[in-house]
Amino acid sequence: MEINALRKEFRKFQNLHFYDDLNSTGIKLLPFNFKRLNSGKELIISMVGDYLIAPYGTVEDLVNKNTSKLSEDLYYDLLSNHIISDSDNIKSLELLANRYRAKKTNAFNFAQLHIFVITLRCDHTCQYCQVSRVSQNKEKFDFSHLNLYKGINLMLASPEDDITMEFQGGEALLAFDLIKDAIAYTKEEAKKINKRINYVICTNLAPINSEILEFCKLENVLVSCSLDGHEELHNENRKRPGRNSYSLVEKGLNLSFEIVGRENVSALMTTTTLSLEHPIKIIDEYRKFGFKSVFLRPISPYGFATKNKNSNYQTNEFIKFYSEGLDYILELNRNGEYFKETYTSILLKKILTAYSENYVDLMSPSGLINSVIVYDYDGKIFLSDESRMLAQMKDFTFQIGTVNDSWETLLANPVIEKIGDAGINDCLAGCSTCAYNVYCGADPVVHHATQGDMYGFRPDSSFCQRNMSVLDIIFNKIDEEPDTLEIFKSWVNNE
Amino acid sequence: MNEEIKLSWKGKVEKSSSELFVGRVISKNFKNQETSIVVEGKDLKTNKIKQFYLDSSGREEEDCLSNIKGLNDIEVDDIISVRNSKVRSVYRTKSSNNFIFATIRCNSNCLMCSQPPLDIDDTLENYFIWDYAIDLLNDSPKHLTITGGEPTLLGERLVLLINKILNKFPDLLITILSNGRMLALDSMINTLSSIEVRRNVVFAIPLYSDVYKIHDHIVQAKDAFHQTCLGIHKISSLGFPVEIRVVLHKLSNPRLLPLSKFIHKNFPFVYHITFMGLEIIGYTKANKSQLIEEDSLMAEGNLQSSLKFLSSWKYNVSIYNTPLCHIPESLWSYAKQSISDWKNSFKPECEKCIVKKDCSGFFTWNIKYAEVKPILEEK
Repeated sequence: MEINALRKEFRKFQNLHFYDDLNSTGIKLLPFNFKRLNSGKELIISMVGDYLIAPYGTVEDLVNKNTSKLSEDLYYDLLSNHIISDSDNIKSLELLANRYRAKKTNAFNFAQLHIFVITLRCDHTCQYCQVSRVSQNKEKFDFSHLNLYKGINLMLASPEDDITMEFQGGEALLAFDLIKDAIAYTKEEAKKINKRINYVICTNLAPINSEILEFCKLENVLVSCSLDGHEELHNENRKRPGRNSYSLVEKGLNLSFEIVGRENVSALMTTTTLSLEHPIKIIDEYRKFGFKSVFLRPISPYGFATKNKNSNYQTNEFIKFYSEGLDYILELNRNGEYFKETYTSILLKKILTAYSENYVDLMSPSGLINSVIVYDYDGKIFLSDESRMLAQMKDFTFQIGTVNDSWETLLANPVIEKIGDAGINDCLAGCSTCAYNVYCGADPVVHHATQGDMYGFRPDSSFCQRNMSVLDIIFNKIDEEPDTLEIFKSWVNNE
Repeated sequence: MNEEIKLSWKGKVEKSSSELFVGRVISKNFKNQETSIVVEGKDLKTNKIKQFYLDSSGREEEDCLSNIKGLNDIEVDDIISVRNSKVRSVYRTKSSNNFIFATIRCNSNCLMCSQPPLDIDDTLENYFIWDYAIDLLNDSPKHLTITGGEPTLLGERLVLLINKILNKFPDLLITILSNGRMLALDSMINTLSSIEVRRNVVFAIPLYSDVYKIHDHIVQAKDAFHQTCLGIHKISSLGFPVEIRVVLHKLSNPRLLPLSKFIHKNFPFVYHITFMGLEIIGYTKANKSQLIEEDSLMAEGNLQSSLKFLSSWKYNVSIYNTPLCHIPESLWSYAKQSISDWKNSFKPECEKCIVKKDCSGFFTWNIKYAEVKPILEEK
């Protein structure tokens, strides 16, 4: 860049045309993807996720460089949304690089979520779970102290300074003493190296009591529980002797609110075939407990779950369920009640802001390694929670080692190079040209599990169908319902 | 109607040995209709400490400027500079709106520039003046604006001044009014990275359109849009807060909402976005037909939707330099009164307006063009 402050002729005023970069070769197309909306309009999305809803025929005009057909405002919108460039050399390239980096920050991270499957023992026999064991055998199904401390040492040796340590099961609280030991050890070791650790216990709330909750309060441990819906549904999904899972959740939630405070308690639901008919009842159940959000979460399509009649539903059935639920939630918001659907909110943050959201299933590069790592009860280390479920079916593809290994050994596992390849959707057939590419993720584990290939085959990938459908629903609403966009914004703003 | 405050004076030089004198006013006397002022300071060429006299009478003496008009605006403890026959106010001790005038040079040439640039190099002189003026300051100003011309043209010397004053007054808030273009250069960013305390140094950078050529046309400089946009990214990544300033006129008004969306997507980290009324002074007078908005309904609607959009995303948004009767009541809460003492002028009709106390009034120089619609009673 030249500073021409001392040139007199520079002071002569020029007209707008003088500053136009367009030459006789016409506009240049920047990388973008596109899709037709229900209204016939065209959704155009830039490589950094800026979207534009344009009239029918816009993309064709762009491809043919037929810019005389575009209105001046649309032409300007295309320029400022980084969809076209007037100049041959892309002058906004460095700006776009910064924007792209902001969308892909997770690629520069290591796992922040470290899941410890503290025990495999459980008092429930849920429809969709193939992992847990109803057993008293602590020796066989609990973490040994030795392995636990080795796992914690590995967690603390990983590069991130802010780490979430999540205790899962089985039913994690059946090994509460072990959790206490783990937190005591972690606290002491983390202090020495100045790392900040947040703790989460995932529980069905059956074993919860005030002693446990007082501990959680003291140590700032978050409580995350399972709540599948209303009593009949919850008890049917989440079986336990006495069929009283729901009333235990109810009791446990109220006690948790009282002792650790609402802000430290969350709930998650899993959608089964039985849930599909009841989106509204499920949402009302969450409202009844005072929650401000629900995560309408499909079942993971793994082994045990897919063999069970109550877990084996089609994606379009789930989408119908999601769509009814979303409409009901939007209606609540229109009537002045703030309530949000979490999966939609994750996508909306990617759509409506310059930033991204670190949700494992919707990341590209995938969230394996750079978002999550799982330490199983027997000391095995997996790339994700789903990976250890596969291992229960004797598929150890995504086990990268054990707590006896060093990170150097663990990360040298050949599977990591593979997921590096298969985990970037810009390079996947069907994904690279998809309009939603920048908002979506790559999931090598799910595609390996369902299609026997980490790269996956999009036309019958349930992962693809579900995300495409959800994004279609979101964008058609943005296109057709201006008031819904305002509600969507409030979800992203977390108002 | 307020008078414009005088910031520079011309006098008659009798016999001065000094080429560049900077000093603090130590006394001011008014006798027989004449004002005489004693300044104590240093001749920056010879480094000699001495006294200098400013007089409205025809007094003839060494180290004295005589026949100066309007000396009343100079107060005891103010800092002034003298070069040849010209006196400049450097620091006004009673003002809450002091500024470092870094240079009159600029690498842009905005159609509505209120202080048109000159193609002379005054950067070294202005640096010397402020380098010494900082030594003379007793108390910290609350706030200091660094303006120009384009302050970043001072280069390393800008950093020296900022570090020097922040060293003396660590809590001082500084706003740098820069067009941001130089900030696209890695060498400039490197230089600015030597500023140690950054959180109190705000870069206030104008952006007039989301379309490169409209912005470039307004600032009359090719590629300025891309340089400014990249500059905003780079300066922010150094940890300096960034404010984006938008001047409202006929060329910026039509794409105000797309510009707001562009800011949200490309600069979501900015801490403040301000929309400012047009100053009818400097170049603006020559470019009035291009700049003065005729379609006030469109302009009002666009301003309204832009503010609604930006505040729905929780940005800190303000309107500056616009009287309340020129914007819809729904936007009054965004309108800020200017802290500049020469920007709060009112017309006689304004006296009967019930919201005058909350109003920014007009730029002194805008007042003869201004139309007012006094608000007479509660709506």
